Amino acid sequence: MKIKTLGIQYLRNLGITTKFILWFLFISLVPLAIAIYVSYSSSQKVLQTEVKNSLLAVTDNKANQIEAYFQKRKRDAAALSSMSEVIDAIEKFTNIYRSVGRESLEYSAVEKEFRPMLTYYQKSLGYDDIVFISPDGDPIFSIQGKTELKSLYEIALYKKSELADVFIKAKTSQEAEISNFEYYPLAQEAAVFIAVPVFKGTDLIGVVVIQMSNKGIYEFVQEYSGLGNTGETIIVSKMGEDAVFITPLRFDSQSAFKRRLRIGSNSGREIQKALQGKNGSGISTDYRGQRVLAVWRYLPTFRLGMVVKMDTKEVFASAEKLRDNLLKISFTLLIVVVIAAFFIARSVSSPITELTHVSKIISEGELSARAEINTEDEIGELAASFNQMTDKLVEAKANVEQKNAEVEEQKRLLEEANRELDNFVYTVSHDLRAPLRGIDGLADILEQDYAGKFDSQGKDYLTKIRKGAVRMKQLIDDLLTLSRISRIKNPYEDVDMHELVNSIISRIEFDIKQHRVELNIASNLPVMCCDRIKMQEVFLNLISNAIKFSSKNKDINPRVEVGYNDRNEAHEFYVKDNGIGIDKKYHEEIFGIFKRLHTQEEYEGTGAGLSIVKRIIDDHKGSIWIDSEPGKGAAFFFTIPKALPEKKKIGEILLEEGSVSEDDLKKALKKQGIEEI
Amino acid sequence: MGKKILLVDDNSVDLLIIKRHLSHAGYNEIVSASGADEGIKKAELERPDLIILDTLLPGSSGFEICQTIREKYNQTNPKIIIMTGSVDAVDAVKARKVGADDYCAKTSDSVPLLEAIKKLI
Repeated sequence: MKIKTLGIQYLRNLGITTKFILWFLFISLVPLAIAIYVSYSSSQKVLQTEVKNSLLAVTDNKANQIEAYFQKRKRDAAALSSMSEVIDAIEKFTNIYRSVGRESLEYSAVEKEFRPMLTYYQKSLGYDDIVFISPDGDPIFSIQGKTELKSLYEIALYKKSELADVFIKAKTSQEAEISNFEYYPLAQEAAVFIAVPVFKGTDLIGVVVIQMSNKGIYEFVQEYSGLGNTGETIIVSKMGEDAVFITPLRFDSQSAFKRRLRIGSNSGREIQKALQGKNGSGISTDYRGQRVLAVWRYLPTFRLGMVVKMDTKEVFASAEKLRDNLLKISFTLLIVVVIAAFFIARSVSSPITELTHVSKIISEGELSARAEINTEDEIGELAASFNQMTDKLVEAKANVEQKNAEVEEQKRLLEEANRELDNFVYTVSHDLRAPLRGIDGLADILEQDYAGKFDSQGKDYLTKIRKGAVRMKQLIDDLLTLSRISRIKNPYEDVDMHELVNSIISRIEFDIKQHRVELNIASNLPVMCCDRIKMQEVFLNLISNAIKFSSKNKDINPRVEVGYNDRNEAHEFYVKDNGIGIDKKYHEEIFGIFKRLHTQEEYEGTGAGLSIVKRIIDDHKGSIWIDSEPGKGAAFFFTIPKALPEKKKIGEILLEEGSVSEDDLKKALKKQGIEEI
Repeated sequence: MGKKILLVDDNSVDLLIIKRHLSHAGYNEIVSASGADEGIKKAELERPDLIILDTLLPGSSGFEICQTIREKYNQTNPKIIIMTGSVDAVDAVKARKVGADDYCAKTSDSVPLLEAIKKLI
């Protein structure tokens, strides 16, 4: 299952060209393969039937020829045996043999009388030998017997042999009989015998045995007309347990009586079938290991098996040629298909590639690129809408850039306004301080120098004027501090927060002791990169606030806690008190300038402290918030990012402020051996 | 005592108050000027032991007057204190640079000024 999905996945990931080629191949290959298979197999069938029929005809023809050949020999033999000279000769030979035997002058005389005549017949009829056998089974004359074959007959007659068999058969049936083939290894020859009983009147006076070699039928076997280049005829005879080839083969001229196969074995099944008296046809493998189409047949008269066969290679040669031609055409067609598929695929994929290329260029930021595809088809439409989309993108980008520029401009204006406001606050504060100083100074002098001239109400008014002046001075000073926080930038440095907090504690030690504040400072305060002076301001304000608000709760001892949490990206500090707490609805606004939630009489201070703190935290890109509920104390949390955006050098800050000129700074640095700021 | 002090300040109220505080502190010989030119002239004319200069004056500043006087006499006398109503500490450096002997904040009770004077005369 997994392999299958992987395969499909692989196919999906192929390029368009490859996919096209594969599909084209698939579509053209399948019908081609079917066509080739169908035409090949049907032509094969037709050819097989045709060749089988012609082989059958050849077989019939050969069987008839062989039959006719042997019948003729048989008839010849019968005719020979009924000749009066032959009958006379047999009678004489029998009598001489019986009375004095073969080794006698009388036998020689008889032999002398008949031999020329018999030799003549033997030669003219094409026999190998003519043998006379007495009814008792004794060989009494043989044309060849005079020489080396004499003993052969003697032996042959007394043991089981084809000659003996055919003799007995003929004697019994009183008719001409034909033997099976017999092979004589010594003479390297095969023979078949025709035995004809000879009668005088009704008395059997002997048997004439004609010996013929197997060569008589060679000519039928070696006649190859109708058998093409590989067709041949095999004739086998059963000898004992073996099927023996009795004729030469087309491809093995020495096969006669040399080649044999055991009946019941796996080889030459068609030959075995023919010998078993069966007729048939089919495809099998021959003695050479070739595939052949064979027709087999039994020749009952002579108990021979005949197989006529032809190599399938030849039989199916035309089918194979047809198939080969079809394959060649297919192969050419396939090449054409692949090339066509390639070009068709290219016509589809190249605009897509072009589009991909263009979109890559565009994605790299080159927005002026456009797809140049001018066709009217779907891909052309795609390219057109792609170009439209890019146009819109350019438009949108221009819009965004314009908006960004607007935002930048607004930011710049805002910053300028802020700076102006800060400058304004600075100037105004200073301008306000002068008359205030006058009011307070004069009121002070009045109090001191003219005390006697005021009644108690006058003195009270004077006190109120002084109180107002002091309060106003506080407000102005806070305002100045706030504007200074924004105007003055100190360099960031690594500050040990423990040291910093402790320095604050020592500055407000008086307050702590006076209010008996239980102060708890965490031991894990880190070393942090920040503006040291401003960070002091932060802790001073937060701790002072905490002391101020917790010490007014008369029921409990004031307790202030300074703590720290490591928040991966940022340092988180908190200052907690157990004071009066702050209602949630004020949590946002308490950081605004001069936001006081209490009257002047309840708590002293101007309310600028928290807005100073917030401004410093903002400057450090951190954030500040409060966690508090009325009556449950308050906790101020703030974070400072660990990676501060910039660590300005003091020189840069001084330059920015305009409190030092570039030349002066360079000179000053050179003195200290520093080249660059 | 018997030291002569020249006070240069354009703010008449401040002049009034400082004079009062100085006389209370026992400095009775006080000359005042409300502008830079007048201040320089009086410094020449009156030969004070101490000159107190406000930083912000119309058309000029205490630093400039200080520098002018120092250039003219090229000596340590008279003593000069530069006094400012501003809260920034940057001016202290500037004051030293132009040859002032001390620098102080201007307050309604003149305490920082009196402390500075005590150190010098």
